[in-house]
Amino acid sequence: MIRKNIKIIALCALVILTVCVALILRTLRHESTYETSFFAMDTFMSVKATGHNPKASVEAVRDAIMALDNDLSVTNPESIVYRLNETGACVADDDLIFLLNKSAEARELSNGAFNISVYPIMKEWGFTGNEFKVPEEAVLNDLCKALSVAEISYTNSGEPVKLSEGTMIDFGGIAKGYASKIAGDIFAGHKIKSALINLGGNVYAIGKKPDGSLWNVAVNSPDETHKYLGILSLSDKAVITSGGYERYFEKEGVIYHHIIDPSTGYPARSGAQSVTIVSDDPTLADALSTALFVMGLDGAAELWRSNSALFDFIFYDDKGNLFITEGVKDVFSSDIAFEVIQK
Amino acid sequence: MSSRPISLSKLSKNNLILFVCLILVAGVLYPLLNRSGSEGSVAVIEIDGEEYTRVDLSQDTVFTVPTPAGINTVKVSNHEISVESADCPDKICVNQAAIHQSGEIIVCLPHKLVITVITDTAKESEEPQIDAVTE
Repeated sequence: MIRKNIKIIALCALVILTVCVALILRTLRHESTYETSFFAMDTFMSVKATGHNPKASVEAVRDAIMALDNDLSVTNPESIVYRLNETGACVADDDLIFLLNKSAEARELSNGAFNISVYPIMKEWGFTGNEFKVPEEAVLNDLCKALSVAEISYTNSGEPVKLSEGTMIDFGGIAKGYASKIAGDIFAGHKIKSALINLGGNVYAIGKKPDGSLWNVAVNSPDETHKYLGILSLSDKAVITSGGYERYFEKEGVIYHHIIDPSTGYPARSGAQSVTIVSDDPTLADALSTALFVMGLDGAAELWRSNSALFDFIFYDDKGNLFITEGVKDVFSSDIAFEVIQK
Repeated sequence: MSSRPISLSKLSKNNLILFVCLILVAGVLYPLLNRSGSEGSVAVIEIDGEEYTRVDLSQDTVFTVPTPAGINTVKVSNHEISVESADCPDKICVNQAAIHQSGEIIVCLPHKLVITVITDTAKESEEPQIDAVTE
């Protein structure tokens, strides 16, 4: 009898123990999803994460992006970049050094198609203050000449950054990519393995969805013929698009969009309607989306062939033709016929 | 189950107790761990981060949303929601196609108005669920 009771007691104890362990594990590993959205860097942003205490991580990301916006804004008189543009000098911090290095890398890769010093030209067109105008050709020629000799000198964090006379910079073409990178770093530090960062259409998908499936990122169509150019199914990738359709104005029947070709001073007329970059590196992806838009399909394909480990792209031209590079052919689906660019 | 040679009667009695306990535990924990609703499709309209209203996409309707910066007229039709008209300068929200899938958004930046679809009507269709749109 006692033996039997002991067995039953042992069994009950085992069950109770199992339940306790299960409950403790559940509390310890309890995963939930938290999402927040906010306006920063002149766009609408949403950030969501799944994991243990995602709220703290997501809020840390939001605060970091807001702080970055305050530092990098070209219109906020309190920002570091504003001061740099006004006075020609400032003291570098880690963000600034990272951005200057990445901008230089993108500029070199793209042979000048991406250039943060294009800001005075952007300003002349009114793309910063929304008071659009078509500048005089002579003014643009002078600005392009000035751009070709523009210099930014810097060394390390804590040391001065100096701009040559007349040079002004704007990280607008790379800041959201960098903000995504910062967000990714914060999530990694908080051990969040599943997160989706959407900074006004600049998407960074971290890990996989909480159910273990891949993130589906649709590429917006710039024209009326389709809703989406296609859908990318992926994990741990930044997906960043540049399109002339995002910001433009019309004057006497001509459309002027906001992606300026630094070599001409005019909106790029490369035949691109929309360029999407897929990369592990969100900062580079942001800069390259602008660069490839300026370069056009042939230049884009050439750049990709020598750097195919760095990124892939999806290119939609103004005649409605869709091109994708080999690296994304297995993760891209579309109703539109597309051509795969091979190495 | 293991196939060790233990007396079947003892095993089955204890097993029965174990099973009942585990099923009870599972029965209590499952709903706790697996809370997911399956309502109809709903869009949330926010103004500057504050929820303004929720709309059921199964009911066709047109209504105006007064924001501090201006007015947007929102239309629900055929299980889709769109901005029919707005007095914002860029009209990007008006030019955007109607949305219906969970995760899709329409943003009117000048008015800080955001429309988000939060549940999916396209589950039975072939379309994959879209998590984000790059643009």
